[in-house]
Amino acid sequence: MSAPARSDLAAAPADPVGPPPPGRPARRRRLRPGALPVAVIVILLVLPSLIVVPMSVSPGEILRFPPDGFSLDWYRTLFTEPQWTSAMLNSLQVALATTVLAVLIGAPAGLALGIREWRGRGLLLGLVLTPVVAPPVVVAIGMYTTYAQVELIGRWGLIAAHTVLAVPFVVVTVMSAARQIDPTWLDAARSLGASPLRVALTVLVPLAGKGIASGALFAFITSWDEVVVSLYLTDPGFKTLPVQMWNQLRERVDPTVAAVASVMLLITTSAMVAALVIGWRRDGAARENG
Amino acid sequence: MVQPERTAETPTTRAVGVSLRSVSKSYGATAVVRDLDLEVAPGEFVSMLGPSGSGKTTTLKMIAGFEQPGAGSVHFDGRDVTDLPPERRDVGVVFQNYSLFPHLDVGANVAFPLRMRRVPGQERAERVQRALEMVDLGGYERRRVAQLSGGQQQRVAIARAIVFEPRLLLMDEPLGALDRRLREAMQLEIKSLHERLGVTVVYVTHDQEEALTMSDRVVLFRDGAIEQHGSPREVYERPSTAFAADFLGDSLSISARLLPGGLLEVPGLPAQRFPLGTGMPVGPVRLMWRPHAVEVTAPSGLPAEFSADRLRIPVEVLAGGYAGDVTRLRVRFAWGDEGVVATPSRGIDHRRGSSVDLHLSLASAVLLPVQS
Repeated sequence: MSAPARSDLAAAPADPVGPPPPGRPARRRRLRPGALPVAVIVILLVLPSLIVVPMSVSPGEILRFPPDGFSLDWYRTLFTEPQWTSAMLNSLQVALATTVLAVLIGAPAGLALGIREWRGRGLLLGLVLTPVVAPPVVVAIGMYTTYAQVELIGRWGLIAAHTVLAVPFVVVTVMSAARQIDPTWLDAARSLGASPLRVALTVLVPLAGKGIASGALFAFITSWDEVVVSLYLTDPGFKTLPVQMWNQLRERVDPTVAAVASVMLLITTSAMVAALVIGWRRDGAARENG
Repeated sequence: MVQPERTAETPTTRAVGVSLRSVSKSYGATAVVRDLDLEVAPGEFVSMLGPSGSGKTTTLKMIAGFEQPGAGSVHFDGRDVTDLPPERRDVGVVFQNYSLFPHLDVGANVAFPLRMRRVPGQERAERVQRALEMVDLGGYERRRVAQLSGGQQQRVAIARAIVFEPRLLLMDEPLGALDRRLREAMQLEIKSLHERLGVTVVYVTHDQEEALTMSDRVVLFRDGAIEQHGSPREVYERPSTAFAADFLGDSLSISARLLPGGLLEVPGLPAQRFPLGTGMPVGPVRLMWRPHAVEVTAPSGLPAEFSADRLRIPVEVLAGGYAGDVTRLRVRFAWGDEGVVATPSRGIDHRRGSSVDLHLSLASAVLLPVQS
């Protein structure tokens, strides 16, 4: 055995299964040496976020780490005091409404952008993605001044604004799922007796469903932890959780904020994990169907 | 809704006649189909043949309803269906890339058109089974589409397109992605399916052999218009233009000239009376023969000769291709025309640069106009 040891990268082209099907990049799950720095970065980003969890169970009045005991008092405050409970309900309401609206707008757009090539496609895609590229403060000021003109402030203003911010995420995830849809499937379904609506229900939704689901989760998260635009568009009678947190932090720093942060972190992380799992399963199914 | 009971053996009589009337279609400034008229009789097998970009697939899409004509109208049995959406035309379509739904198994793919028509479950299962048996895939209901070979996928696609007993079957290069042997086997299967079902078939292909083998009638497309149409034998043996002659297969043609008084002049030879009525104006023409109509012999060493209705002309062999029983020769005349002839492989020197004699009968020649 005199063959020199080869690195993973060098061995990669010698794939015994043959080349991957066209249009789909080959993926490997094996850990590479490069995984180490990635892990370090992830830890550096994740640990500071996680530090709020121990801080939230500290019995004292002041935010401290490490905690000097264990107490769920701050969670009790969070779930009993009206200012927090109403903020949580408001956030949930806005996030759910945003999700529904963003999917209704973004999913058809993503399908249209992903399935066929057409003139003006690039332009529309650019337009749809603007809210992601523009600095949040700029977007917030712009939205505030325009929405104030039509008195679209508070609950509905926030839902409208968050929908604008969330649509691009739905469009992008649905678009990538729609890339796997062959336009002749749509013609085939029509010729076999399906009206456009039934084509959508029997072909498009099943094939792009997972893309739509992960888009919905991204939309939910976008609204759930959005703070900049919300600061402008909420009013004293209608606050979302991040806004309430922000106000609280400026007045008095106590571990309630850490408890809120932990709850937000839990919900956001669950949604992200769900979106990722859906994505993995979609890719897996696509490989199997290849 | 009770459908009349029908087994795989009894042909349906629901074939539809199709007519396209002055149909045009453009994409932007490009005219893809120009003022096209086409009649397809009920139960007929018509091939639309032509090079890519000649408008044959666009025409098929307009019959299916996927594309709207810019002008003109489409009729099924005399009824104007131009504005009828595809799902209400009752037309089976088979695509080149099979276009089976990847999220459904074989049975569910074939059942799809029946589900759309709300055929009850029991009857649906029976009809799916029968349709799969017709394409020799009985028992494949639970297979995943991705587990099938290309040929099997195309059979499933055919089963899906016939299971709802459509009045018309459209096929867009259905065998284009298969290898040659499979393609030839499938050609015969589709042909026999057509005979058993009695359905009208419009078949798009760019393969002239396929069109000639399968069709009752071949419609040759060129630049968005019909160049010629007729039975396979007509279009092959009696092409009306040089384009039709070239597209439908190899040929040998020589430049000649029609003279007043029904005389025909071949380069370097005295003019002779042309035995067939020509109906063509005086001037340059081409005389065309299919390879099988040309007799090839060893060189006699004599000069070319034009007597009665026969021509004997020595030619130079440019290339010879041995193909088993026959050898195909590319030959060149002294005055520069080139062409292809076929001859039994025995006894002919087909090396490059050798010489052979061609015996050409004017009775089997086709007179073609020279294109300006």
